[in-house]
Amino acid sequence: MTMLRHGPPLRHITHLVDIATHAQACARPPVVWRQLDGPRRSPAPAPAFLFGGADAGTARQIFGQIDLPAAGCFSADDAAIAPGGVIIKDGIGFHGEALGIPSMHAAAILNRLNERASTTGLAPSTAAALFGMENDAAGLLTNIMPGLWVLAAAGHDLARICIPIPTDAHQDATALLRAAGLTDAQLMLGDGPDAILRAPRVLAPAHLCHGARVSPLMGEATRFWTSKLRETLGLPPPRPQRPLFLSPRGAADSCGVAGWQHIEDAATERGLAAIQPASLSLAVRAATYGEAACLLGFDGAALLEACVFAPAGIPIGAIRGNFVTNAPLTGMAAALGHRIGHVFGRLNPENPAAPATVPGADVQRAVTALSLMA
Amino acid sequence: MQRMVRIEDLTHYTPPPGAPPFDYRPIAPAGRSAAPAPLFLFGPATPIVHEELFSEFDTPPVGCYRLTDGAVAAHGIPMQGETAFTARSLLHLADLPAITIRRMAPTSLPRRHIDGALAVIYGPSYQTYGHWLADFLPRLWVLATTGHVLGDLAYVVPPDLPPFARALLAAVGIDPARIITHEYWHEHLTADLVLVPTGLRFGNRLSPCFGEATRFWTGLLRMHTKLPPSPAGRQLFLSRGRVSHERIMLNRDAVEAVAAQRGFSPVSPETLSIPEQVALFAGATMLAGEYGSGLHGAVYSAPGTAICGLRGNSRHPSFIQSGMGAAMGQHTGYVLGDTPGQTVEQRFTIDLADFERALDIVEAQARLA
Repeated sequence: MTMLRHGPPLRHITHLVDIATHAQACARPPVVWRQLDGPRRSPAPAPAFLFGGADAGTARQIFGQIDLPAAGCFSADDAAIAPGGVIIKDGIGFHGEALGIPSMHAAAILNRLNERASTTGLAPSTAAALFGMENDAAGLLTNIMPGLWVLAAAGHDLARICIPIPTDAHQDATALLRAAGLTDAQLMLGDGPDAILRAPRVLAPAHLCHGARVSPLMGEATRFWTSKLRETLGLPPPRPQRPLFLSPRGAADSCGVAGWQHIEDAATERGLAAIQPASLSLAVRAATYGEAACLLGFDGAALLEACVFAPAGIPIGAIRGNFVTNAPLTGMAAALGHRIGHVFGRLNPENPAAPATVPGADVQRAVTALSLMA
Repeated sequence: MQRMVRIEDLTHYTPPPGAPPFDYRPIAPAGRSAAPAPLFLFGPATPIVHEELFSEFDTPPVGCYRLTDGAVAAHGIPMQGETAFTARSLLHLADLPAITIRRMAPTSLPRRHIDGALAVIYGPSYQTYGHWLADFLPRLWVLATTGHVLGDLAYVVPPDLPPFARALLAAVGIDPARIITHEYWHEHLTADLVLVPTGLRFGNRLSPCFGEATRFWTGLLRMHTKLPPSPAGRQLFLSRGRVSHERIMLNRDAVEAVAAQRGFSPVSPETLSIPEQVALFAGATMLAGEYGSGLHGAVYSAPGTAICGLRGNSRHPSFIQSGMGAAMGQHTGYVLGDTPGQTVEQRFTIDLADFERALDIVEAQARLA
């Protein structure tokens, strides 16, 4: 990892503006927008199946988003990257829907920076704000890794870009970036929650993911980094070979569904091979998902990751509770050519936080549908 | 003497030795596939709705049964000798043949014989306009595809055939002289050859050849009937305000006002002639309206048409529009209002925000087309 040189603290950030508006409105904008595609408007791809009854809000999430984000990259000379991926230039902080940074979050971060003596690191070259507000496992797959393709498609040489990695980045972040071809010299570990990185040029790739919808370019962006990862790890190209069930056994977080062992038993009885992602390394997971002929699992980061590494165009079944999750699984699946269906669990109205229950008949129907589509 | 009639499933029937000839001319085998999903689904989508839309995997075998020295009982139930036939694709409710045979058994009816071939294209629900579009008229294609000349056949119809059905048969070029009205409780109707084309539907799922069958009979209609001009690019809102007795959308006025604001012209298809309906639908690229026969007029519309159906979230009146749309290359979505799951006579209210959202998608889909 690259060690930072430190400069004077950056203080007194006086303005907060929307980065997209700013880039388009100024005659000589300090932030330049290079557009690759969009924005577009289209109906959401229909799910392959729905079982169990959907809450009205959940149905709105699946069907109701018709706006797709624009794809492109912002750049600003002599600027800085603050925590949360907030770009700072000339005393102006930038928020923006395109970067997944709500104005309130940006304001909170900038207020904190103004109050404290923040550490300002100096990047040796162009720096890219790949990380932002959501640096968890899902964010890695939907925003951070596809951002590499956005940078390259916008004409930037990935080999000459350094990437600050915040302290809250997911444990797989550096492994994924290395496997995608970045060197240790390019990865700059953050100094802490108040650290700022100043660079001769700052790049901010717009997110290809907007709620449950993703840009049509997400497929190309995902293939860009996953193919590099396969090459680095020596994995064969994806090829559908066997139906898989993603078991939550051993996972740190609850899958949110009661009696999931019975669901696993039902799935394996119908010929699905159960795997336990929590016990597998990144390389083994990528290799295993690359063999999936169809996938059944619980909505979450593991299923999203399986969707990313699976052969294109397979059927996927997501078992989930009945509430709005903001998870972009549906949109990601569509961008990668998969056909995704959902089985909704029933919530206890007196305790909606309790694990949902899923009738066995709905799981059976989902398995039948998956086998007919595979 | 009381007749002893047994009931057999046509699909699995093997005639006993010495029985008159019985054969089946197949067009397409039975299919099994996952159901295509709706374009959108807003409102309270209960497990019943999901089950109806997604858990029907089977589509019927399509072909034509030929019963030499056959007969026809009430409701178009085919017979040969003392055997009455049923089949899932003929849409007979489970106990319909048994009830019918029981009622006709004690009586000895005068016989009326039809020389040549007699086709049975109607069946249960013939009183409903939409079933002629979804179930009965496509059987003309089955007859033609299995080597029968439509103009040479006689067609049996029930005594209470609705006027619209007679108009539809005339519009597709069936000579009225070849329509045999069967007074089924008063006569025993036999024919040299009884033709029983299968339906193309199991529940909400339609055979993939439904699109071709529909293009065939609507082509006949266009050939035999002069149509008025068809303005292109229309957006229609199909109202059931004049016909809905069993399904009532409580906020119909508010929904129709939203549709009008969004540029949808209100229409009541039942007030128009068949040619007027065909011309109206043929020019439409977006359809919205209460679920029912009127919406099934989409069979006259082009592939790519976007459709928004408004209905309760009960099992009745099914989601046949989805199956028809899938076979026709059209895109159907639904806005649901809450109503008891198993009810037939129902009242529901449509959330206007959901309806607006649905129209956004209909417009976006129409632009893609």
